[in-house]
Amino acid sequence: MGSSSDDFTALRALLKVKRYEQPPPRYWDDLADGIHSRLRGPDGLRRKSLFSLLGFDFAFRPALFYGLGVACCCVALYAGMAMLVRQPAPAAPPMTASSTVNAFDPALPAESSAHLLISDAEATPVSSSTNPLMSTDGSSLPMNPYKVRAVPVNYQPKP
Amino acid sequence: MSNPARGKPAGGPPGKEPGKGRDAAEGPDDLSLVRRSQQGDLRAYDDLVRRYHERIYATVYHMTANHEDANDLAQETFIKAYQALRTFKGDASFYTWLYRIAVNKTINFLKQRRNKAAMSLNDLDFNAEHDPDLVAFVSDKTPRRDAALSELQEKLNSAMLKLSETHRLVVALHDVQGLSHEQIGEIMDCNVGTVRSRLFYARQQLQGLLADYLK
Repeated sequence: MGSSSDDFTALRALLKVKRYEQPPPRYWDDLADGIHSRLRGPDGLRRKSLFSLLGFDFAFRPALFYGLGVACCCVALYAGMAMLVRQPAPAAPPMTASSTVNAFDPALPAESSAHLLISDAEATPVSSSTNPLMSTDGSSLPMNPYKVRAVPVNYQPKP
Repeated sequence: MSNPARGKPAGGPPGKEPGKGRDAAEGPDDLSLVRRSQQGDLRAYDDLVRRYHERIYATVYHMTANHEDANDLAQETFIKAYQALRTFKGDASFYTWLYRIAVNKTINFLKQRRNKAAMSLNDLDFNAEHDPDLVAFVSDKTPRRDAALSELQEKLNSAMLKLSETHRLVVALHDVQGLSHEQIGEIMDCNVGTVRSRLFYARQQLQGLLADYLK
């Protein structure tokens, strides 16, 4: 540090100029009064919130809270996408009293319930049906080569 | 309202030990004022404000080269310090603690203001024309003393603004305000070696930027 380029005497003399830079007259009084009035106003009375006391101050940690905001948006977006992907099958339209009729309701007129039964039977007439006919012992089932029978669960054969 | 530093350079008297200078000798020490302020005594805090507002303003001003910004930041420093006074334990001196608040606020401000720097310089005190060092320096360089001083002021501030915040701060605290390396180390939370190193490189940069005026 002994070379001529490291001799800062002239620079230090020049830097003395800055010591003489003075604010306008009466400025120091104004500055002190400004602080004084702010301290006795809302700024001075304001107490720090719990949020600030914990160190989460927006003024000092903008990057942290920017990241936190982005993370929250990502989570919300992901949740929304997941809900869209796993959307359940559309629910059946709600049943109303007018759309259902209990055919065996004794309160209904006889002809109305009979009409329903008859129309049901007419929908699949036995003669034209391709469904196999069931027999009680299962032996006559056309598609039952192994003679499998259906028996009640509580059936106890006699020895 | 006493103003003992009126008429003196804005940087404060070089070598004056913070908290133990003439201001502190005239009244109670910093710590007792701080304790009273912590108990809600605003008049005690007013005393602290009047004790340090010039030096805090000067530090911020030398960092920003803008009077309005320095005014706002100096006020905010004292407001912030008052709001955070309960957290002051007395491990460091009040002056150092206050300085740290001012420096952090200023550096944050400068980072946000980057590329929008506009100088709003204070006028030079008339005493500058009678400073023997400056007189010798200026008369060496140019016969037009009045014009030269204001021109030098502008060039010097422009060069200062080209330094990084940490380098500018070291120059402002040491070469302009006269703080010791140890005090600067406490304020900047680094060791004395780092302070010396930063000061050296900052001066080198300034010397290069102001080469035309230092021949």
